[in-house]
Amino acid sequence: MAKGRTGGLKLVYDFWRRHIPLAVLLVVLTAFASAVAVAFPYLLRLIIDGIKSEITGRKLLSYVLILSGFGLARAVADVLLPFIRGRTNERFQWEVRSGVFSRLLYFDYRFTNRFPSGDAMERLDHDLQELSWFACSGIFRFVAGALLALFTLVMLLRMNWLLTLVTVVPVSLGVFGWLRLGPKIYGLFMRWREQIAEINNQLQSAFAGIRLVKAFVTADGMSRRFTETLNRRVGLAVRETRFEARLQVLYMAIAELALLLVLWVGGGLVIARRLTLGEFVAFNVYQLMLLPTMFDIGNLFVTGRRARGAEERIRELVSEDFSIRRGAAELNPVPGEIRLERVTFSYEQVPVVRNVSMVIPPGRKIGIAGTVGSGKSTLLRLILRLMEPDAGMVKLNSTDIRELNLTAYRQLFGYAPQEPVLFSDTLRNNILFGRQADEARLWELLQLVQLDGDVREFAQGLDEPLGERGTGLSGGQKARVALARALLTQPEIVILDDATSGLDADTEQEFFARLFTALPDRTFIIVSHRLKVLSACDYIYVLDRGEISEQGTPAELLSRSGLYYRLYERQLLREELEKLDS
Amino acid sequence: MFHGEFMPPEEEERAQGRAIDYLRRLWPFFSPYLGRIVAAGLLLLVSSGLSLLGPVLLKRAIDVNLARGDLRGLAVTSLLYLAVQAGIFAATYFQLVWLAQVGERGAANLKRRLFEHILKLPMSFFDQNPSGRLISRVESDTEALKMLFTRTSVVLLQSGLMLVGMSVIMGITSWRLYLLVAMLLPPFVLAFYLFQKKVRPVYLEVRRRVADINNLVVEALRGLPVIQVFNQEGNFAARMDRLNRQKFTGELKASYLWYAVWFLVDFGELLGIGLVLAVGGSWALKGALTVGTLVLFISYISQLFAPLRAISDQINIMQRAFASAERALKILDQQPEPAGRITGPLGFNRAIEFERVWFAYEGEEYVLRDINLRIGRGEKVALVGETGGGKSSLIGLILKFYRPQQGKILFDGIDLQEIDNDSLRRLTGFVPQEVVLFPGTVLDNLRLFDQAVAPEQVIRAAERVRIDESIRRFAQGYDTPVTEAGANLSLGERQLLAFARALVRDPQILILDEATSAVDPHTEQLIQEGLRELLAGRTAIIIAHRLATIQLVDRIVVVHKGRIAEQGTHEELLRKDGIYARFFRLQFVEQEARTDG
Ligand SMILES: Nc1ncnc2c1ncn2[C@@H]1O[C@H](COP(=O)(O)OP(=O)(O)OP(=O)(O)O)[C@@H](O)[C@H]1O
Ligand SMILES: Nc1ncnc2c1ncn2[C@@H]1O[C@H](COP(=O)(O)OP(=O)(O)OP(=O)(O)O)[C@@H](O)[C@H]1O
Ligand SMILES: [Mg+2]
Ligand SMILES: [Mg+2]
Repeated sequence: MAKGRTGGLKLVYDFWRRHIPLAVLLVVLTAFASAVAVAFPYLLRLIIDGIKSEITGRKLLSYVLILSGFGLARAVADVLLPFIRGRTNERFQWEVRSGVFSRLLYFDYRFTNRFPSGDAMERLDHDLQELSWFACSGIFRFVAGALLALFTLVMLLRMNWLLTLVTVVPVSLGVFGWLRLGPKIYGLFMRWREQIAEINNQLQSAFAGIRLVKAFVTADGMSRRFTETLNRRVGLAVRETRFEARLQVLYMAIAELALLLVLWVGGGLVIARRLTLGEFVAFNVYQLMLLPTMFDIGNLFVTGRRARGAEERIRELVSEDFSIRRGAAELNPVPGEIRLERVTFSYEQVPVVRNVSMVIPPGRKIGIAGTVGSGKSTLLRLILRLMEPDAGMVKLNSTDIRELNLTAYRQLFGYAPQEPVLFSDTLRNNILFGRQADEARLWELLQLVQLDGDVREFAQGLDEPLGERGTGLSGGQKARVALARALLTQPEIVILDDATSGLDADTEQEFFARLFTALPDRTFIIVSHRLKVLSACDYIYVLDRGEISEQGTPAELLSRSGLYYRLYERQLLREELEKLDS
Repeated sequence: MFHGEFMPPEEEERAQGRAIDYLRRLWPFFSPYLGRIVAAGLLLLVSSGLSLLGPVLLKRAIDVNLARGDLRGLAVTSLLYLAVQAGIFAATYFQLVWLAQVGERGAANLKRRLFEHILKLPMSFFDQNPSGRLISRVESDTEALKMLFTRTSVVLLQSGLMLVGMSVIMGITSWRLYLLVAMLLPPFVLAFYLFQKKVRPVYLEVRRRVADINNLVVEALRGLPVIQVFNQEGNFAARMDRLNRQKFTGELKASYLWYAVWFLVDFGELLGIGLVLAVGGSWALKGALTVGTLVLFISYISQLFAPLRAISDQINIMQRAFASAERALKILDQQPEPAGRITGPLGFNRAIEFERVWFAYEGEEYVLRDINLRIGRGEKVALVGETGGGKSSLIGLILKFYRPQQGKILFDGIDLQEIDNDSLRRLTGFVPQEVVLFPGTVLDNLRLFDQAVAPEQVIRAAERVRIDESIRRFAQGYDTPVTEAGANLSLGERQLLAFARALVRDPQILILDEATSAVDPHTEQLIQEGLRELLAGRTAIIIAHRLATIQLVDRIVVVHKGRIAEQGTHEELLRKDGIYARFFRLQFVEQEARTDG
């Protein structure tokens, strides 16, 4: 078999290495089932020949009983085998999906830039199903088919070699044909699946962006594109059916040809008295048994190829290790001063942070300002070690953070990203997010982020389901849930990436006032576009195109007329105030 | 934002209405192919009829030709058999191909119709139906219907014919033996029926778990940084493992049932063969029956159970298909957005006027109350106010996303409802509060896949909102692909793209809903300076939380708790010392005092 050696189907190979006893059991059972199946027509032959030679009723009855016993054994094997195979397929699916998914959880932006979540989902769903069928059913149906064919051949040869030849030729023809034509079906099938993905894509775009579709009057264009895709799909599907119909007819023809040949040649032999009638009927039955095996045998190669494609698509997800390397030293971090030393970072060769050095002393509030796309969010991600700098380093208490235990290091932080991320779960679980806290602490927190009033109005309070299948929250509410999550553990260092921009001025002011009172001695790193927020900080860094263009206390920065001053001069609205005064 | 939902779990499994009504309404999508349908049906009859002849000829070969040693007779029988088979092949081929064509085309017709219809439905429909659900209406439900036409009908007909045909032939050959076999059938029919009833909820459960798993994958990958910062990798892995286990158990449960039936069939077959051999064999020994008859019965018995099972499978599939039909047809029953009768290229000459407008999304919960507002041509108006005050809703009315329950909106003196939606919307350039980006390149997103828009036009718009320079710095410039939800762009950049997109159309009326909330004040300042010249002679409606955003405007309208609380110029409103003045002071004045002092 092609597995293992070529490097393809490694997931399947590894699976069986983990489950050797199961493999042995399956082989034994398969052999047993094939043997029983082959014995059945033989007994049938005995009975028919018996009837022909007018045996006694008693003898006939005992034959029938034996036959029934074998039939029962066959029935059990017939059920047991597919059941075990199906169970194993599912088991494989489970192990591989859990395994791949838990690796993905450690990957950084390089992964999400490359694979849209829908694509990854698709691979862990349909491709995995395809592969898992092959992993057990595909392989062991081949084994069963091959054994059955082999045993049958032995039985046939014992009866009559000429008729055996006549029986085997069409079946071999079938195996050969399937080997040639099967892959073509696969090609058509893949193209057809691409069309389906394309259709889903278009539907999703149109429905999720309906406001835009309506406002920009693009419904006609969308319908046109949709119709074109549909037509392509119809064309492809019709071609596929034509091909499949041809194949089906071809196989019916092979089967009938085989039966006819046996009838014809076998009949001749019976008339010539070189074959008993019972043997003739047995041949017929063997032939019927042999015919389906031509698919099972050929299938190993046809579905094997498909499985290999599917496996590649799954392994592609984890083929490159996009995870953050865990440090060799694994030191335990102690809260303290964070220092960035000449940090440089590029996304896909486009530099976005250049030579940035920063000091974030404990207990201080550090503001970060800067133009659109200047690298503020990126800088925060580097501090959180969500990705690694290309050059330079981030240090905590003069230790390179790469030498620290990553989990413990991240535990120092509370983080609210620029866009709130919520999961379809209850409000409570979205705030707790795998950590513990009692009811009182939660309400204290809700008060801090000014969500307590809103939550009281929810039908199920803290247990309100959110997300996909739950009710929706307004943008401002989502932002406040994310803030609550960040502050739950009263972390040493709080990182807020413009997380309050969805709030109106009133709410925002109140939030920061409460925050600074609740956590007086913590370190804050705050990105904001609002002067009001920034001026509450002790020290500000101003980013421009990935470089620090200015730094200083808010007052210092305003007194210089640098970028900061320019950024916020309008917000000061001096003229307006003067007008008001006059 | 984008890639929002995925397949929600199956909803109703059974249709409420009558099957015949659904069929009648679905018929027009398939009726253009009437000829093919009839022809395929006839061929189906032919091939099923012919395939019954196979075992009869076999019997003849055994009983007549072989028994008499008649080699020539055997040849004739074989040739007959060959002819019959050739007929079956031809009939099968054309029947398969024609029906598949009809099914595909009919389903495509239905899909197109649904898609076009959905796009025309009012916004309130989309508020109630997440996009994942709509996708499965257009995609999965129509596929289920296709299967109904191409497979279910065939299988039912074929299996029915087979059953009847086999019964007739067996009955004619030996009615006594047939009675024996027929007695076996009823318990099996009952068993199949019970199986379907039991397995249906199990499969539904499995499909739900699959949906949960897919949902988890998508959510986790989108929220990856948050999961990592909060050290939740282990918890999410455990959650996945739990769902996988549940799916596994569900599948196992289904397969227990499945194989129990399978076993039953095997057992029934065995019972039948045993019975035929024991009883029929003893009759044959007495000479009351030929061996050929025995062989014929045995080969029919193994074919008898397949159609029985197929029929019961298809009845289940049929019920689900009708539930699909019901869901799809319900969508076609929805009234599209009322389109006004005044069409054609429209100009905006005088004003948009709100006269005592009341609006609620649902029932009596008014989010806009008694709005009176006039926006003249060439005027620039800002809408400000607290979160949830109703600013976006007001804009939604102007764009005719929704219609007011009371009062009137006049466009150049004409009731807005009289004006064609598309003609009106073509006048506007709209930047929604939430950025929508489509899978495609930056350029695709800026011109919304409209190849007719020249790249230069796009670049000019990008320059105006100061995003051109950033785009050129991207790895592939304007051809840079936008990854899911625009995650490879900074939030500010995404907003500027949406802004540029509105300008590409060179609109007469510009509507900005918090278009620059994540943009730094400096860039915003530059944009406004650029806009000043662009907006000369045009109309603009601008919503902003940040008061610095609204320096361009002639007039400020404060929307507070669904009402217009005050309006006027900046100075007028400050002098009035109302809501606006308080807002303004909160944002700036305190600040001023501190930095100066
Ligand atoms: N599609 C909708 N269905 C039902 N209610 C809605 C819908 N959209 C908005 N609302 C409700 O209508 C009210 C006004 O909302 P709207 O979005 O107009 O406020 P807004 O002034 O734009 O607020 P923001 O500054 O937060 O954008 C809110 O109470 C909101 O919850
Ligand atoms: N995942 C990514 N892949 C490729 N490029 C990215 C990715 N994320 C951000 N960028 C690019 O890096 C630059 C800096 O982005 P970043 O999000 O750090 O900016 P920012 O200062 O936070 O901007 P904003 O004020 O808009 O939030 C931008 O030009 C952006 O397009
Ligand atoms: Mg950012
Ligand atoms: Mg709004």
